[in-house]
Parts: sequence; C-alpha cells; structure tokens
Amino acid sequence: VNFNSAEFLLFLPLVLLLHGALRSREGSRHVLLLAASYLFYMTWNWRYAGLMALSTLIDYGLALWLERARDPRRRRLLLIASLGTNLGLLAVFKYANFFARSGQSLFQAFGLDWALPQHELLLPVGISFYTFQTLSYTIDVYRGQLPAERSLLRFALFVSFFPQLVAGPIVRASEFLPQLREPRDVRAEQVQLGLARIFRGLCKKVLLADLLAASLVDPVFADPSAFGPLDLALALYAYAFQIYCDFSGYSDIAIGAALALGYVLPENFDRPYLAQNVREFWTRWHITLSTWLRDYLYIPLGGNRGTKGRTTRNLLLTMLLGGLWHGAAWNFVLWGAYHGLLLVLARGSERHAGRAADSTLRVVARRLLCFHLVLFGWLLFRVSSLEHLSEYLTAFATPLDTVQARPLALVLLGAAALAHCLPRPAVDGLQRSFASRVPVPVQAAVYAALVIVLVGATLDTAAFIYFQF
Amino acid sequence: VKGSPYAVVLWTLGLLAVAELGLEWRAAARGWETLLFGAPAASRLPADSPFGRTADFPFRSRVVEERVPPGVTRLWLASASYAEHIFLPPEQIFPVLLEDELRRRGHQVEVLNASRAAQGIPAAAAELAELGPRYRPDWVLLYQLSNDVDALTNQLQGETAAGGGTPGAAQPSAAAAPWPTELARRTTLYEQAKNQLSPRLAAARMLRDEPVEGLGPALVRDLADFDRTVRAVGARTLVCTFVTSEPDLGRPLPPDFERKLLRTNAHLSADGWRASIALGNRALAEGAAQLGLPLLDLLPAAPQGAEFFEDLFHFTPIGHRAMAQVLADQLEPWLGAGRTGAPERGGR
Repeated sequence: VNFNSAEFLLFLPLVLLLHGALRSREGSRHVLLLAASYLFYMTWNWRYAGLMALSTLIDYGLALWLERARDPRRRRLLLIASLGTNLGLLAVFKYANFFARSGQSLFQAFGLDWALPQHELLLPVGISFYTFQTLSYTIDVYRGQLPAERSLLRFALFVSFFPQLVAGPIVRASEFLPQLREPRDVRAEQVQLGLARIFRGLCKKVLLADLLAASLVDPVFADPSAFGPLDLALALYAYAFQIYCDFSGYSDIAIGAALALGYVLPENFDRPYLAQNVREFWTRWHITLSTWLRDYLYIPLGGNRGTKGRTTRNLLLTMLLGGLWHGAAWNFVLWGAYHGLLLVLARGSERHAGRAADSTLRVVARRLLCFHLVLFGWLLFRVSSLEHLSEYLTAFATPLDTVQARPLALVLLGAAALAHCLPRPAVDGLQRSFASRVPVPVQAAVYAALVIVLVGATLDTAAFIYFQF
Repeated sequence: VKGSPYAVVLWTLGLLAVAELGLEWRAAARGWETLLFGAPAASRLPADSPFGRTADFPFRSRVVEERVPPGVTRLWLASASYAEHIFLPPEQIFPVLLEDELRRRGHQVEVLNASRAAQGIPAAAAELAELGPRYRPDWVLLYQLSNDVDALTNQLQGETAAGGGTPGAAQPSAAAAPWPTELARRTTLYEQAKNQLSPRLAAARMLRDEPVEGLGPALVRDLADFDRTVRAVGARTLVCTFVTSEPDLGRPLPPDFERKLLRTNAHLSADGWRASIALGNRALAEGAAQLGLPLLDLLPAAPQGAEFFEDLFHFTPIGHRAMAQVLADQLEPWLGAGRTGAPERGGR
C-alpha cells in the first residue's frame, strides 16, 4: 500500500474508525494496529512479513534475556547475537549481491574468472528502517538506558507500526514504547491536525516531487548528452527539491497518520538547504537517521574524543556506512564518503559554524555554498553508475545553447524551493489554525477537493524514493 | 458524525461520495458509461435489436450464429474506440455500415466488430485467440494504431529512463492493479480529474517532437505476433493504415484535440504524436510486406475535414459513412478473391 494510492485512501479511514470504535480498550487497539501494520506490509509481499516477525521475536527475547543477565560476557554475547541477526539479515538481503558483484569485478581486474554466488531474493521493503529500530532497542537495553519491553504485542507494534514502517522516521523505542504503555485518548483536534499533515505531505509528494521528476529530472538523467548545461543544472536543482519533497512528504504523511491515531513521531526534516555548513545540514536532513548514526555508530567509535586522526576516521567511517545504508551501490558509497570528507573539512575550518554577529550577506553566501556542496552530493546519489556520472559531467562541458525545460516545470521548481524555505513554525501554525478554527465541513470540502486534484496529478507509477532503502 | 473525533474523515468521505454521485448523474445524462448508472443509452439495446453486444454475442455489430453459413465470408474487425464508438447507435458506426455497403454491392459478408476502447494490438490478439476458434473468421482486419503508439512510447520511454539510471524513479509495474485502484479508476471523479488535470500538467514535461526510438520495430513485432494468432484460428490478416484528422506536422491542433492527446500520452508533443503515427503507418506497411500480408492503404482515400472527425481519430456519423465507403472499396478485390477460392480458406 503506497501512501499515494486508492488503497491507502480506503485503508487509513478504516483503521482510524476502527481504532476510534475501540476507545478505552488499549489492548484491542494494539491488536488492531498490529494486524493493520502487518496487512499493510503484506500487501507488498506477504512472505517477507515473516522476516519482520522473526526479527521482532529474536530482539524481544534477547532483550529480556539481556536484562536478566548479570555476567558482562554473557551480556556482550547476547548483544552480538542481536547485532549478528539483524545485520546478518540486512547483509544477506541488501548487500550480498553487491559484494559478490564487486568481488567478481575485482577478480576480473586481476584476470581471474571466479564466479561468486548471488541470490535472486527481493530486497524487503523497509528492512533498513525496522532493522535500525530493533538494533537501537537492543543496544539501549544493553546499555541499561531502557528497560526491556515485557509485552510482545507492544514490542511487535513498535517494530511494525505502519505509518513509519516503510520509510521512517526511524523511531527509538524510548520515544515510542512509553506512548504504547499509556492509554491514548484520541481527540478531534489530533485527527484534524493529523489529516492536515497528511495532505501537506501528499501535496509535496504528488504536486511537487513527482511532477518535478517527470518534467525535469527523469528525462535529463535518462539521456544527459541530449541536454545543454542549463537543462542539466536545472535537473540537478530539481532533483534536490524532488528528493526533499518526496522524503519529507513521506515523513509528513507518517507523522500525520500516527497523530490521527494518537501517537507522536519525531520530526525528520527542518529546511535542510538553509544549513550554513554540512554539519548543520545533517542536523536538518533525515534527522532520525543522522542522530541514530551519531548515537549508535559515531560516538561508540570514539566520536571526537580522540586525536584529530581518529576523529577523521570516525567521521569518514560513519558517513561511508551511512551512504551504504541508502543502497548497495558504489555511487551511494561515494556519496557517503563525499559527505564524510565535507564533514572532516568543516571540522578543520574555523568558520564552519554560523555566528550571531555574521552579516546577512555572509550567511547567505554560506548557505549558498553549503547548498551547492550538498547538490553535488545529490548528483552522486542520483546517477546509476560511475559511467553515468561521467556522462553527466561530460555533458556539462558540451556547448548546447538550447533550453528544453518548460516554463511550467520552472514554476514547479520555484514552488518546491518556496515550500522548502517556508519557516516550519509558520507552516505548523497555519496548519494548526486551519485544523482548529475552520469549521469541520469546510476542512472536509478542502480535503475532498485536494483528493480530486491529487488523483488528477498522480502518476500511476510514482513510488516514494526512500522505499528502496 | 457530530461530536465524533473522526467527523472530518467522515465528512471528507461523504463529500467525495456526493461529488461522485453528482458527476455520475451528469455523465449518465450526457450519454457516458458510469460505475453506478452503467452503459450509455446509445449502447443499451432493445430486446429485439439485431445488434450486439448481448450476453451471448460479444461483438458490437449485427448478431450472427457462431456457425458460418455456406457461401458467407466472415470479417473480424480488430480495432479500438474509433470502431466501437459506444456513443453512437450501432447502425451508425462504420463496421456495421461496411457490412451494409458490401452486401449492397452483392457480397455475402458478415462483419464481427471486435473493437474495444483503449485496446491495442496485443489485446486484440488475445481476444481473437479466445473467441476466434468459435466464430471462425476468414479475414481479420486490423485497424488500430493510436493506443499502440501511446503504450509503446510510454513503455520505451520508461525503459530509456530506467536504462539511463534512475535509482529513485519509479518503475512501471507489470502486475495488475489492486482492486481499490481498479475501482477508483472506474469512478467518474477519477475520469474527470484525469481529463482536466493530466493534460494541463503534461505541459510541464519536455515533450518529444520525434517518435521514440524502437517504436517501428516494436510495432512490427506486435504485428507479427498478431498475424500468428490470426493464422492459428485459420484466417488471414488484412492490415490497414491508420487515419487521423490532422496528419500535417507543424499545423497547430485545436486546443481540445491537444488536451485529449495529452491525456493518454505523456511523452509526445502534437508533432511528436503525428510523426509517431506516420512512422507507425510505415512500420505496419513494412511489416505487412515482410509477412506477406495484404495492406489496405486507407490514408490517400480517407475522409479529411472537420465534418468527418470529432477529434484526432474518432469519426462523426458522416465520417463513419465515408470510412465505410473507403474500406468497402479497398476490401472488394480481396473479397472477390475469397469467393473465387484464391485465399487459403476457401470452400466454406
């Protein structure tokens, strides 16, 4: 079930209404949400729901065992068992073929014709997201920062909660499990606010991200040599805003759907392209992933506590793995390494952080520089191979003075940039006053009209970009 | 609803239901098929009508027995909305008029109009494979191109995009859509939203002025597959070139025509579409020559002018009459050959 589909239009109201009908029966509500979440997942591939259930059962059991164990060696062994299971599943399903293919290419480079085994298994949707959630849970229990969850039902719901199951935000157990332990009294205001957030996300996805993809990004990236430098640059700018609108749109829908059910999910974006340096960018882009990488990878590696060389190593390793988390391909590794390098350079520079006394001009210049550094990273992220990257860069140097981008596409690009730059408090405030002050039938009329507009604008095959991760 | 925390959800769903009902009522009153009100009045037939489609007869033409009467040549017309034309009574559409005309000229023929809206060559072949053995046509007349050009362009352009590397881009799914999507697509709200918005938003795209690479060979492949099906049911294929109201490149299309064009095709400009149709016609002619199939070149003799066409390729009642004449003229020599036993399937 895609969020931008007729199935979701049927699924969400049904779940909301059934959830409402089970008022003050929290256990039944959890059963309903768990069943709905598994149904949601099984519409993609029912077999892989078993994989999620297996991961859930293993981490549930290991965490309880971990909490009881007093012997540090045993505790470490249990943690390794959890890490091994979760990362093992990820390695098999997501990375095995990539490493096999890369190994083969390496052998071939040395003239060896060795074939490495590869499988034809599909990549389970959302595996990177729910694996990181269960990993953080076991690590928190191991560190004694979180008690093990006694209820399998609550734990299974934490892992599979449908609004954020497929593409985040990555929710920590410490944020979500306490919400499941308290009775949720869903108020009209929450439902209205949730619905407003859902439509905000859908508009970003359907009216901006998908249309930018169809009108500028996909045609140019499909055949870069057919376009001049201006079209190539416009397509890259468009991709920056496409991926922002796509992913932050998904997060909006996830946060809104959870809110309508009475749960609060963490924010995932905060106008990332207004960052003044790359370090700040990572506090505004995919916030739940970057904080996860910081807390469970960078700091355990030593963070910035050691020598300059060690800090550099930790930063590069964290970002390399962060890149690889996005996809099993060298361009993602390159993208991660590039951001790692930018972070290292930012640390080395005295001027990496904004100061209150800085002039507006200086702030704007820093923002523009940071945005363009990130933009080059998106080129690495978007291309399908290193040859494709080279084709794109070569095309930039080809003097074609025609501009094929249509005026409406430029309007869409401008609208996406504007949507990104609007201050979040202002948008949230507007959304809150619409949801609380405007009469319900008027709100509903606006939503019904939006459904019609979104149906008309929806491309039949436009899935969310982050589904693939 | 009042006082419920979910009032806004219920109101939204209720308003959508009311909007759908209102649009369906309006569409049905204007003669369109809708989800709730069913087929338009023009395609609803009285019990004693001599025409199909009926529960037992799947063709939009004169009802005939499955068994072919002796001395009768049976023609199967594989086409799309231009020959199905559900908004006109059956006696006004060219497949029926063609049968009338040929009979008037002394030929014992039966025309089975197996045309269906939005159908392309592969779907036409599938229907022939299913029903052909029961109805045993002598000749299968293939008259369609626009749906194939749209579908193949979308497919080939999508492949190009994927080949060019789009890790984030969605790939077209070959699987059938789930039932809620299918149901949603049958609503008038969906139709209206798509009609009004898709063509306007297509203006944001970089539309191609040339046919997509690989279109010609793909059409020839589809034609060869189609001909294999025709031969398997013991008939012969007659390939027709496709007629449009505005074949000239560079001439601006009426805005309404262009909007309709952009509804089903997301990649081609008006010129790109016309160039693709021209290329498609050449490919069909070449394919027919390669496969040794008769070609009915309707283009030079086809009716031209606003009174013959509703849009780029759907005929007005006058256009249907003219098309029936042109087809009858071109078909006659082959029917003569049929009566004298020259085609492989003589002697019935």
